[in-house]
Amino acid sequence: MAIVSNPARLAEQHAASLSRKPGSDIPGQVFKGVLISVTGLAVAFLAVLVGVMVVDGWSVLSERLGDFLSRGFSQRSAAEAGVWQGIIGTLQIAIATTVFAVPIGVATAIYLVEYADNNRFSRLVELNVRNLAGVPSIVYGLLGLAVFVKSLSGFTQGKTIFAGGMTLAAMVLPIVVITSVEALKAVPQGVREAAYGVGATKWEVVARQVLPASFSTILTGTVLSLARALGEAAPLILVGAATGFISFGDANFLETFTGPFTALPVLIFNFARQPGEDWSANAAAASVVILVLILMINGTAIYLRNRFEKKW
Amino acid sequence: MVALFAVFGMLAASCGDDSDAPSSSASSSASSSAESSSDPEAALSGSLMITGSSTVEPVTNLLAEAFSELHPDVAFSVSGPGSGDGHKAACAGEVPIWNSSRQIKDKEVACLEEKGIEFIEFRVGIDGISAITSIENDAVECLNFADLYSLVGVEATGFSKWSDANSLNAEIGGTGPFPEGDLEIFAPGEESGTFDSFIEIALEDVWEERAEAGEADANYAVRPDYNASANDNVIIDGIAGNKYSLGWVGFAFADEARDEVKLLEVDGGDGCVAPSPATIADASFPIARFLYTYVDVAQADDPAVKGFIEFMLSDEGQKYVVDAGYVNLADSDLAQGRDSWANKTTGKTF
Repeated sequence: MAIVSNPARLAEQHAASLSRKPGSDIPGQVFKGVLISVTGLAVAFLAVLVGVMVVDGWSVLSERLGDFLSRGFSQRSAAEAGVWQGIIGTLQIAIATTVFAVPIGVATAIYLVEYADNNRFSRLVELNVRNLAGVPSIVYGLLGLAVFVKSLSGFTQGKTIFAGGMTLAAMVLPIVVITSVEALKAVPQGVREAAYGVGATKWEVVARQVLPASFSTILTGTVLSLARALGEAAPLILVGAATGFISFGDANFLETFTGPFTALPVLIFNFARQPGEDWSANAAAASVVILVLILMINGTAIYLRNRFEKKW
Repeated sequence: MVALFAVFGMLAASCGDDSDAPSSSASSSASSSAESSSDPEAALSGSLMITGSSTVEPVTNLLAEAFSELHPDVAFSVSGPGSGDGHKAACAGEVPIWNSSRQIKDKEVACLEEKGIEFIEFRVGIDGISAITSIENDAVECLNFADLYSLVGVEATGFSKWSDANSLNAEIGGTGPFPEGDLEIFAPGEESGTFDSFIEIALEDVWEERAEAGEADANYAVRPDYNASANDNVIIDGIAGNKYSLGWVGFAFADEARDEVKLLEVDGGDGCVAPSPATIADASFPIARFLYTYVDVAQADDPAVKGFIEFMLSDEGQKYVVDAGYVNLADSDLAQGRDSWANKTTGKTF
C-alpha cells in the first residue's frame, strides 16, 4: 500500500492529535463570551444615549432644525431659542485652543523625544505630563480663572474667548504632548540614522524626516484632544462664559474674540436647567448638534490620518 | 482641520457683515462713550455684563432680549452663578449691573465700600418659594414653619421617615403626627439664593429659638443629609420620583411642574395659604422673597447701563418679571426704585 502523504491531511492529523476534546477550552470560551457581552454593553450604552437624545430632541430636530441652528439665545420661549452663538463660540474656542495648545505641545514632544537626554529632569517632565492628563477639567477652570482671567487680564482682556481657549489649551496640552511623543517615538530609528548617514544635521533630521513622518499621528491626536476640549462646559463657566442672554452687539468678528462668549456645552447647561419639556427638547437637540460637530471633527482626523499616513 | 476652518470661514463671513461701524467698546464691562445721548430712541452701543443670582437671571435674560431688539448694537453677556458670586464680581469691579435673590448683606456692602463702589438698589419682582412633595403624597396638605423645621432643620439630621420627626414636631408646636413614609429631601445646595431665603424665611425663627435653648446646632440651620442640587429640574425629578419626598424650589419651577409635584400650603401663623401669583403678591403666602438688581452708580450714566435700567423700571420692562414666572412688585416698591434711579440714591434703600 502506498503511503498517502498529503501535507494538508498531515497537518489535520497533527492538529487532531494535539487538540483536546471539543469544549475542553472552557475558560477560553467563557472569556470570549465575557468580552463579546462587554463590548456589546458599551455599544448599547452609546446607542441608548444617542437614541434618547435624538428622541427627546426630535420635536426640535425635525420641525425647526435650520431655525435652531441659525437663531441666538432666547429666554422668551423655548421655540425661539437657537444655538448659533454657541456654534460660533465653540468654533472660536477651537481655534484659540489649537493656536495655543498645538505649537507648545508639539514643541514639548520634540524636545522630549529628539533633544532631551534621558535624565532625571526629562523623566520628571514626562511623568508630570502624564499625571496632568488625568487632572479633572474643573481644576483647569480654576487655573484659567486665576491665571488667564485675572493675572493675564492685560493679554486676555478678562473673561473672553482667549481666556477660555487658553484654559482648554492648558487642559488638552498634556494629551497633545503624550500623543505627539508616541508619534515621534513610532518613527523608526533607522530613518534618523539614514539621514545622519548622508550628512544631515540634527535640525534637518527633525524638520525634514521625523516631523513629516509623524505628522498624521500628531494631527490625529491633536484633533481628538480638541474634540474633548469642545465638550467641556465646567471650565468655561468658571472663566466667565455667559450662561444667559448673549449678543455680540456691533462688534465685528475679530472683536468677538475679546467680547462676551458662550459655547455649545454651556448652552446645553442653560437649556437643561430651564423648567419645562420644551427646554429639555432644546437641550437634547443641542446635544445632538455638538455630537455631530465633534463627529465631524473626528471624521476630519480620520480622513487626515488616512491621507497622510506613512507605512514603514 | 481643513474642514473645520472652512466651516469657520463661512460663519466668519456671515456674521462679519455689520463690521464696518467701529464699535465704541469691546471691553468686558460697560464703558462710557463720551457723548451720552439723551434721546431714548437713539440706538445705543457698548457692552453690558450682568451676573449674579440664577433666580433673577431669567428676568434679566428676557429684558436683555427685548432691549437688544431695540438696540442691536449693545453687546450682552448675562450669567447666573449665584447671588453671592454677583456681589463678589461687583466688588471686584467686574460688572456694572448685578442681581441678587436676597438683599445685599452687610459684609458685601462693606466690601463694596472698601473699593469705593457705590450702588443703587432696586427691587425687580417677588419670588415665592414653594414647599413641595410628590403629587402622589396625599398624607400632607399644609405645613407650618415648625413642621418644616422638624423635617429639614438641623435637629432632623438622620430622620429617614416622616414619623421620626413626630416627637420633635410635637415639642415645637407642629401639626403632626406625620405618616410612616420614607422622608426623602431634595433642595437647592448652599450656594443657592433659594437655600438662603428658605432658611431665612421659613426656618430661622424656629431654629434660633432652639439654638438659644441649646437644643440645636448654632451654626447650621439645615440638616446636612439631604439631596442638594443646583439644578431645579433635578430637584423636581427627585421630588416627583419619591412618594414621601419633601423639598423646596422657586415658585416658577414648582408651578411649571404641577403635574409631577404638589405645592404644599404653608401656614406662617395666619392659617394655611396655597402659593399662587395672587397670594405671593399680597404677601399672604408666607415664603416669598424680593428679587433685587444693583447698579454701580459710577457707571449709571453709561448709555447702555442707563438705557437698560430705565427699560427694566418701565411698565413694559416689568411685564417680563411675570413672563419669567415671578410676581410683580407692589406699586410703592416700584415707585421707590424709580425714585432711587432718578435721584441716584445709593446704599440699601429697602
